[in-house]
Amino acid sequence: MDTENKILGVMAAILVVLIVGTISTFMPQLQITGAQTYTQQTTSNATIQYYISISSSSNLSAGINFGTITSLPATAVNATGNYNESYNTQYWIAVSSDSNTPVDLCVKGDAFNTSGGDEIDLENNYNWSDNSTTNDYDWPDLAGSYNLTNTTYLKGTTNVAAGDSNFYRFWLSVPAAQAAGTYNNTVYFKAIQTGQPCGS
Amino acid sequence: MMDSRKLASIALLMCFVLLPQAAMASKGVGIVWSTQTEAVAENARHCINYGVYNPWDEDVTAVLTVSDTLRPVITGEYSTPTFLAAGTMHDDAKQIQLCFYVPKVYTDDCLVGNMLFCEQTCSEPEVRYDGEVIVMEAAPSGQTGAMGSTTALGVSAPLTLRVTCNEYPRDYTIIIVGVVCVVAVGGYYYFRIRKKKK
Repeated sequence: MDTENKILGVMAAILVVLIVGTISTFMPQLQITGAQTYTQQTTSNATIQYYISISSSSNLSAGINFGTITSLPATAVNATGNYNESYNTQYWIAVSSDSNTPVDLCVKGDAFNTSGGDEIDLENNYNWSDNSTTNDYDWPDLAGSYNLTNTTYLKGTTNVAAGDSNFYRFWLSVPAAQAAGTYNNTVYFKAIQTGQPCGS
Repeated sequence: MMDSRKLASIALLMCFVLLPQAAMASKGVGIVWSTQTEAVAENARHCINYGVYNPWDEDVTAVLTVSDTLRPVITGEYSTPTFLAAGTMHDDAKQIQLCFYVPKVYTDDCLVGNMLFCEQTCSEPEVRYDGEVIVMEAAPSGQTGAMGSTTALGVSAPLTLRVTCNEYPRDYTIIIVGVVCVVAVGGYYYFRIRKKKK
């Protein structure tokens, strides 16, 4: 009889231990530790913040227009804002003086087509050139131009400082057999922190 | 009383001062960021704040988007167009919260199904998402109808998400506790019944 009471007591004790153990497993803050140490700590932090802003010239905001082309093939037709009376381009992007890091400027376009689906291949037909220091008759120049790409951005001028501008010119060539129509697309300009990839 | 000549002169002067400014009016967008790399836990929601601003002459509506490489993880309200009044400097930038849910990317090694007696050894390479957060004008500028292109302007901030892996061993506690409980309860009742019988 006494032995059975003892066994019951042991069983009950095991249950109590299991319950306490389970509770302490799920509530770690209740665990009893053997040693107590005192440490003093303080947090330290610093935040580095960047900000950049760009704007487009009013001519660039108004779009890149090539007018009506009546004779094919046409080679390197100037966009209407490529030259003003002083032979300056009217297309530029300005980096705000309210920026705290220089930028690289990237350009891409999407398909240059008509609403009916005729398309002028951008490759070798739609060119752009840029220059951040000179805006005159010679610069930005066709010889140093890039093909407009429609898959990923292409990096043009790099390291344009806050308060400075980057100047652009655009040219369009049209092959002889190109279907008549009004061709349109969107050209995207993106500023990134200098040294970063242009992305997609 | 001012004579008409003086009034005409003032009007002319105002035209000379104001008209070129109107002609030079520019519009653009800006972005403010305070983080480029974030350690994020898998299976959890995270948010990062970005500022958008417009220190230029014209009001614009801008949208926050992300590059394709971040699309597997980033969802949420980031694409809501935001109106930016002209002349907003970076310290008055409008805050947009970019929220996203990071899915479970590391596979657990489980003994039963996908849930029971699992361990995470973190032996797989770290999962990273590299991309950028872009603020763009909501709609391209320029006329359509003529031969040429409309233009769209944007600025971007780089963003890398590093998904952290939390290593943990296989946990048999539930089995041990279960077995001991069954033995203890079974033994308790077994001996009580025996005691009553006696």
